[in-house]
Amino acid sequence: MLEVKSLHVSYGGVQALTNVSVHVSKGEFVSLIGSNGAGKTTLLNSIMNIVGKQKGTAIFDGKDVTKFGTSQIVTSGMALVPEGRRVFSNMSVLENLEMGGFKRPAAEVKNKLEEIVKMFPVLGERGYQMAGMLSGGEQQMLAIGRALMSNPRILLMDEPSMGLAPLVIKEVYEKLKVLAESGLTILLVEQNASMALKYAQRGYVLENGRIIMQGKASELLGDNEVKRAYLGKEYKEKWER
Amino acid sequence: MGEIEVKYWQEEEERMPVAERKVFQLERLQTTVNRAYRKVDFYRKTFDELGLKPDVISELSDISKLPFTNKSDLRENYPYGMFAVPLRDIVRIHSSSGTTGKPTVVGYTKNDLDNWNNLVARVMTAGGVTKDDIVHISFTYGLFTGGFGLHYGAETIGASVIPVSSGNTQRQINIMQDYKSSTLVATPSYALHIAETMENMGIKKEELSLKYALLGSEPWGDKIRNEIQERLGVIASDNYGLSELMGPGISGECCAQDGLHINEDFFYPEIIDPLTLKPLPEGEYGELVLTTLKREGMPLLRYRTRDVTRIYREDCVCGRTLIKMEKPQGRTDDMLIINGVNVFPSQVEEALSKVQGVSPHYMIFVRKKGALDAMEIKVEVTENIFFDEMKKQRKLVDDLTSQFQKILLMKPKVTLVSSQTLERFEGKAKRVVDER
Repeated sequence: MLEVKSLHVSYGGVQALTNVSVHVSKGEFVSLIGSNGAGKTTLLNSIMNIVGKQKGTAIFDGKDVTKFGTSQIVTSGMALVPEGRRVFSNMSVLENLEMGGFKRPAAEVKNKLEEIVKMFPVLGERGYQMAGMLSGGEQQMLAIGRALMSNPRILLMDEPSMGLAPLVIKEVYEKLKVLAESGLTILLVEQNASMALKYAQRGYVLENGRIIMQGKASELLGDNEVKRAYLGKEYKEKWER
Repeated sequence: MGEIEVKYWQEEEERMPVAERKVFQLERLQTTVNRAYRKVDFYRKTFDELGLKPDVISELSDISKLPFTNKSDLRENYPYGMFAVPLRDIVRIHSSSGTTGKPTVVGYTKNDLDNWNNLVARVMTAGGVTKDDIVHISFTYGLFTGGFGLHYGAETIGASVIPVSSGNTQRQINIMQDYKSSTLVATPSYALHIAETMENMGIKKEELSLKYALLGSEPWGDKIRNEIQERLGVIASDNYGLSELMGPGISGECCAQDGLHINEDFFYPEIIDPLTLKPLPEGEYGELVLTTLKREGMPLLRYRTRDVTRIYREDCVCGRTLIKMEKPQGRTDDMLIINGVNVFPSQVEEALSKVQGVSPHYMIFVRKKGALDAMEIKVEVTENIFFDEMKKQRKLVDDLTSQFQKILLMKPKVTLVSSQTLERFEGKAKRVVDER
């Protein structure tokens, strides 16, 4: 469904991504893990063309979207939930959701809104509150809801667990699971490797802007290298203990 | 209750549309190159010396820009120099015998072993094995990858595995008879030896329960296959592997018995001209070169197998979309170039097997005749024919010459010699004398 091929991105002379290829098939939940500064956000931003691509291609549903503008990409069926939520704090929850559907006809927005409120009841309960008043977890739900307003076929998620308590993280992921089961395709990037891989079918490991591992999520979860680097498991040689 | 026929082990991978598989292949190739460069000193040095960057792979065809890996590289980095993970992540070590030099060592991580098991399970499933089979393994266990590779592949399928290992053929036959082994895993020559021993013991194939034979680790042709199938009452399939790359499980035959499907989602195959080292198009004969795509413990880039074959894509009746290779014809180490034509001693053997009245003992002589090369093949005949009339001898020479011409695509001089006159060899035979 989405195929990013041999992508190179640089910012002000610094190479952020080198020869990165990832793909997500229809209905798949794919996680890309990596530490801070590995280039995860850059990858999503360059797919959405928020930052430019130096080299490489992006094919979405058979269409070459490499050079599409961001709004054109959204119209073609992709939506991004940015890192740190980025909800409009001074607007109400409902207004935030409406913003997500601003390129859609009014009737469709109304239907979609009802659908999303049904899925995230808390957004309905707090509909008229300012988004800035919501808790972190609620803001994350709002950010997801806002992205869904454009009726995407693929959802790009940037660091959904950032700054959230473990219980809330689980709640967010459970929602993503429900969305995935309903047929939504998901590409997620995360530092929190254990959650990201637990819910995904496949995964990639990004390090210094390069993919250095990939495979089934279960395969990566069990890998010693991933455990050491991303799951915080301490490994010492026998003579060091 | 009817039996459920299992045709594939990992159907999604084995029947994936070729274009979709290519997406995985490119991603895995890029990842493998990144890992090899970062984690293996040998590759980092080689890349740096060549001024190559690991991001040289934008398309699959860019693989031709990568350097080759030779067996000598593995020897020079003996024992652990080619490993891409710390030793504590290695859970199994195999090694070559080291009879022709320093041994080569291979290491497997946990994931490598899981993958290996599944790849062998694919090949065995393609050869007919199911969880209901009783698998008799007469490969040597130990450092050699064959025994353990097939053993765990069969266990992964859920078959009952009898790890007999090699030796004591009479006992092996008794075990097969008593334990009702339904699948034999062996070298083709050992399978034939079992058949001969059974005859000597007066045991008929009907007294055994054998249905399948998975044979490999040495070159063999259809003549031997038919004989094994006939004498043991089995369906015999070929499988191919190389210890340096993993062991068995690289490719195997399906029910069509027409080419070996390469597990190309794990091993990227290329065919190169062994002289110019340039890649050859699909379908042409040359040396098989393999790149590991998912191996963690010891990634190998463009490993020169020295095996001569061709790879080709065709719609297979079995439904697999995996590319096929022919049974290897021989090794590039043994290849002779005579007036620009590649000749393998194995082709001479093949020609001999098609003519009655000659023994399998032969010698090849290559000399200069003016500017050209001349090839002479001396062949031992069985005694009764040699002392027979001239006419029969003439006919034999003509038959041999036309067989050679058909198979070697050139006309050698054929000389008949009486039996027991050619040199005999203990161990590896030296059948070529190149006097050029």
